Amino acid sequence: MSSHTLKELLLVVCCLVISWALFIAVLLITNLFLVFAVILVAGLVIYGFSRWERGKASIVQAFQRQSRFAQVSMIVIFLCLPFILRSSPYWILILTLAILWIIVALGINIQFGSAGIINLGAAAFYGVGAYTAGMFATRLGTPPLLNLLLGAVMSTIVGSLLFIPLLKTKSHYLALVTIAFVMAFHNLLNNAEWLGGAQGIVGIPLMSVAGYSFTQEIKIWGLKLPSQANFYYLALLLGGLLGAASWRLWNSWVGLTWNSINEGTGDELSAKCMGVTAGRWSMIAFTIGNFYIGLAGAFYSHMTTFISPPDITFYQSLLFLSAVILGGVDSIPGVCLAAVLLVILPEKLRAFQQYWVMFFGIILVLMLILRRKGLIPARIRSYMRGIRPTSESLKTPGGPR
Amino acid sequence: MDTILNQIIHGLMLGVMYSLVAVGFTLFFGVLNLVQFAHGEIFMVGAFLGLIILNLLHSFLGIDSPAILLLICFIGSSALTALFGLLFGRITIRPIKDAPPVIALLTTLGAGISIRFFVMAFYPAGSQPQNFPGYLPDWQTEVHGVLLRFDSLFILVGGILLILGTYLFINKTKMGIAMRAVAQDRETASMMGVNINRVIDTTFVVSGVLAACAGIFNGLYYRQIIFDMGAIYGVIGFSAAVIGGLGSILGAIVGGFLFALLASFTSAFIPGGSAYRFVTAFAFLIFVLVIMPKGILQASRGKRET
Repeated sequence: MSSHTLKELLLVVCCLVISWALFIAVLLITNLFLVFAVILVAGLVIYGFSRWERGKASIVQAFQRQSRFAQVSMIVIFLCLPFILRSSPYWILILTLAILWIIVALGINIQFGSAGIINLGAAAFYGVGAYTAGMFATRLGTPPLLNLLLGAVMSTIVGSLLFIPLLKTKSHYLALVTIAFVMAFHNLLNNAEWLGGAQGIVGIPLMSVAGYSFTQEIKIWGLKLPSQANFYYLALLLGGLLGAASWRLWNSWVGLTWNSINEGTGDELSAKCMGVTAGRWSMIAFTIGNFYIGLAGAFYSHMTTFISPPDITFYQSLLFLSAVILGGVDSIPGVCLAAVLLVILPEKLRAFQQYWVMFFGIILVLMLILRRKGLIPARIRSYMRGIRPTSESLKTPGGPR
Repeated sequence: MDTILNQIIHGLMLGVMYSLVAVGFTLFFGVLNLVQFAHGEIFMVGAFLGLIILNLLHSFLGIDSPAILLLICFIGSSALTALFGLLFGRITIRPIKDAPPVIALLTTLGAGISIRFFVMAFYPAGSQPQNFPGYLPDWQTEVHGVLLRFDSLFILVGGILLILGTYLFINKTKMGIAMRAVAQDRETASMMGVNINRVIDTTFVVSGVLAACAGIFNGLYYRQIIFDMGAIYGVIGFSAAVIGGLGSILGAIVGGFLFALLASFTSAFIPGGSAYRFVTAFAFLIFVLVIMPKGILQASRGKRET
């Protein structure tokens, strides 16, 4: 092993350790001033690095060259998180919720980020998934794992109701259709007696897999993990699978096709001239996105054991969508980061609960005015091994060299 | 028959309020070519400013005459809301003037919820519904079985006057013509010497006045206002503007009345329908957008390409 490789490995380890240590510190420290101090330090460090071109370049290079090592260590960290947080089950539950949000945000990223279909009705599809799982579990007693699938499938079926408006309308007209959909759906849930009305569905059984109940503690090597870790690991598995699928789609010709019909990154008319069936591809993107969102909803209802109309509002949809905007449109790492932040920050700032939404709105507006590309802007795809195109090289005739 | 007439009166009264908000949306869309989703919140701010003015006048200056109180309330709230709209426009709308439509929509949505929760956090007991003093007389009469309430008639007449005033302003004054010119073609209008920024400011002022009046009407009729009432009014106003065809003032008015009549008929004639009135209205909206993707009036004219 050359000293160069060793240096890069060390750099990767340092970066991972520092960032995760800061993250866990934010979670575990209860003193609000300390939390603010840590967030401030983290912000300054990130800002400093984004200014220091050479440092940034060497870190990026290290991560690219040692990508397999970085991926493996990230997975190990994710698997170890419940062990580190085992004294505070609450935060394990919040992290599980964060993974559900990541799944939702990835779904919306396929719709809005890749294909440019603005979906302000995501909460409705989340609700379809959650209610389907709840109804099947309480009325028919179907096993929870099956319910996850049923919730996701039902969400895609309900989504197909919007296919015709999806094909006919564009930008803000389409946005209005999805807003009208979530408002009508909320109203319907509030009044439909057979769906539990304003009470929602209560007493949904907790998740269990093939007789293994998720209420028991995990014991590994003499260490006891709280029962919440069960949910965390299942959500991590699902999130990992869906995240990998989402990444593969983004990196393939499918993602490129979606980008070509997106009015932000491409041009629908030129795409059609090149033989892209724009309508079919937007329907596919919409359906896959709804599958993700519905699955997360179904998981949520089996985790909290109840679901009610106040969880399914237009405001909730806006929160989901803003994960994509804050993180970076069409940027998968950015979307994941923003989804986690949007779950953890309000939990951490409970003391300022009544001001949180106001701050959230201001942050959203500032991001949209000042940094429209998001926290981690989307990268340009590299299809050739070891060659990373920049925006300059794409402008030269003949494509990236 | 009587129920139908009663529902028509109720629908028309609601329609006036919806139209006033919808006209604001359509003005923004015409002039700025963007959807100003915080308009519902400006409506809410108008209602709260009206309430503050009424309370101040009543308890500090001891004015008791309802006519004077309401007059000052309408003028004061309109002026302050117009000013608020102006500032709001300068801070959030100007930087995104040339952004893609979806970005503009999301920016105004974000700004809207900050305004909404600002009111909730800083108005005393802001998360509770606030009582709006009913200064309109309780007079009512029955003509051939049709119940006419004074507040309905007041809102109907006042709203129609306001809409007429806006119509005249847009069509007859120099500023109104400048606004229409900008709506047709911003670049050409600016070459002809139209001050674009002033036109934008005027748009915020006009729509602010309309929204404030609609907010006070709403308070006077329901005797109650709450911080999140702008959300539903914003969506309804936008829907009404879209049904009529964004950018057309007449379309917004037609859309507002259509939406209101639909909602009030659903609650009257479908058993248990009052809970579902918005379901029908929104389903109708989606239906209209499917068969006429650019709204009723826009579709028949087919002129503007957006």
